[in-house]
Amino acid sequence: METFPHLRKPRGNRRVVITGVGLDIPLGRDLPQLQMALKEGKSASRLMDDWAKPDYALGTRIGSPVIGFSGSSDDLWIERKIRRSMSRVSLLAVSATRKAFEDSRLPTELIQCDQTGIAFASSFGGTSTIEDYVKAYAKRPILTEGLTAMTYLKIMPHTCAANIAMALGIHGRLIASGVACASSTQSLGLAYEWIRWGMIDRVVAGGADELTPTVAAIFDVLGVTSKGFHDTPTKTPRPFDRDRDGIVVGEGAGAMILEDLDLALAREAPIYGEIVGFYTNNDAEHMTNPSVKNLVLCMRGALTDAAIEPHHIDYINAHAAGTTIGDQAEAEALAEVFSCHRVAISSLKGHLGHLFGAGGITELAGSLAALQSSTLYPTLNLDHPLRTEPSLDWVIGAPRRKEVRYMLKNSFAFGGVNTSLIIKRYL
Amino acid sequence: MIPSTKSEVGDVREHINHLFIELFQIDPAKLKEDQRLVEDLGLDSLDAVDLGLRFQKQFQINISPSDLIGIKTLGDVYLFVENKLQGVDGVPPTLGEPSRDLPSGPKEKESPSHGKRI
Repeated sequence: METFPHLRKPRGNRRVVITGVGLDIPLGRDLPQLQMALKEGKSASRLMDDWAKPDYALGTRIGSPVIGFSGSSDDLWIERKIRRSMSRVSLLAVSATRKAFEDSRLPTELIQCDQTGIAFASSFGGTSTIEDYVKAYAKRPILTEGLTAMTYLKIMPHTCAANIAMALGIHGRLIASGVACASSTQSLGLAYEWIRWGMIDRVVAGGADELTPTVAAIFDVLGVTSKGFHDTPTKTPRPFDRDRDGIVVGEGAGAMILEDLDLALAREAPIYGEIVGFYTNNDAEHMTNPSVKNLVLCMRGALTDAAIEPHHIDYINAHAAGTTIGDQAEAEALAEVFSCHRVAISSLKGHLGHLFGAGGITELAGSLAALQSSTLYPTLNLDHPLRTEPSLDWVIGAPRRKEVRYMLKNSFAFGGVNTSLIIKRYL
Repeated sequence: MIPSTKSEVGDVREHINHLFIELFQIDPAKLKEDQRLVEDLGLDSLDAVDLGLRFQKQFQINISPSDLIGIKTLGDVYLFVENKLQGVDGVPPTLGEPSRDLPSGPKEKESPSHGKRI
């Protein structure tokens, strides 16, 4: 059994901390840039020039792209044989992961071993690769036209995770929990559970997605994109606002290094916070309409896992994407779970748009300021909250100072997947 | 396209060189006949699949995975394509030694027609 020394370690309730953060997102290329953008109230929403093409027939014209990430200049450090199987989504994922490891100050020998795992997913995989294939087929309708040895490797469900492993030499367990908008939050939750129960020492967890016109079209057809703010793009999305009209489709990648607390302390790692609770469940009722009952159960499950009560939560970073039905359901669920306790709530999608696979983790990264510097960022574009119960303390306007010991992060996804994560300030 | 004159053969080799540069970002200065595909140019079985696909498209020649067995150097590639274009089936005579079991190469244990883990 010498090959698997970790399997002989005592298993049990290990504490799990965040020791590194890496981002490539519309509002910044690292955590300090994101925090600065949030502090200044910046919006990533912008008019996408080419989306007005008549043959696109798009209702929405507003997106939230990562500007300046070409996939070439940013990834020059990746050799051809590694880069060849990457669509833009994997390039973003690898870039963010590399930054997270740098931030964590983990030595190479602790990264390139079987005690470092990967929990990383996207909603779509390599959308641009699929678009390229469709264009090639449209030109010459032969089924194999445009396909290469790399096509599958760029679009497979675990393309981000596998490419991260290849690029960084990570040998531990790998999972790609591609559950749409909850992908990265579920990845964080699973990574937390692995470490907590002694299955592995550390995990890079996160999510990514790439933005193409097809992504906009897909959500356009579903009727969930914002279409009423083309003259004022930064006024949308409007999470929890009376006048919300849908999501702003975006892209990006976020990665966090989760680690066993004792090991992190032993190497004097930076610690952003401690994950103390996670729960995930499924509505099994409707693919796109959330079930308030199950959102409530999900949040209560996370509270139970963390062994705390609703009144312990000082801040909630909501999923709220700016959709009519989704925001309503989340607000109703929040009102039920926190009915006896006034709790501060905001959604960072007003600033960021919907980053899909990268959404949950990016919003969590932005919210770490609550634990570290007692700063709550408001919900951008929230002028008229959709509910007015005294217990729901909407953070509006300027950033707010508030001491936070526990925060709750929600991410909900099409397909009925709900995830709630609880993070505690590390003392 | 069947090259018969010296200049046409030269064109084929130029096409192949362009493919190597485009597909594999090979330094043009490295494109010499004696360069080994795996050891010197850094190609592997997945590259062989893409090379075969491009040959089929560019030269309208049918290539099966077994056709590629025995190809070791860039010079072998030139001869293989030229022979195919002239209607000579199978591995070019100059490439027939059994020890030349590329493009997989000594470190690769996979079939040239398949990825590692299906």
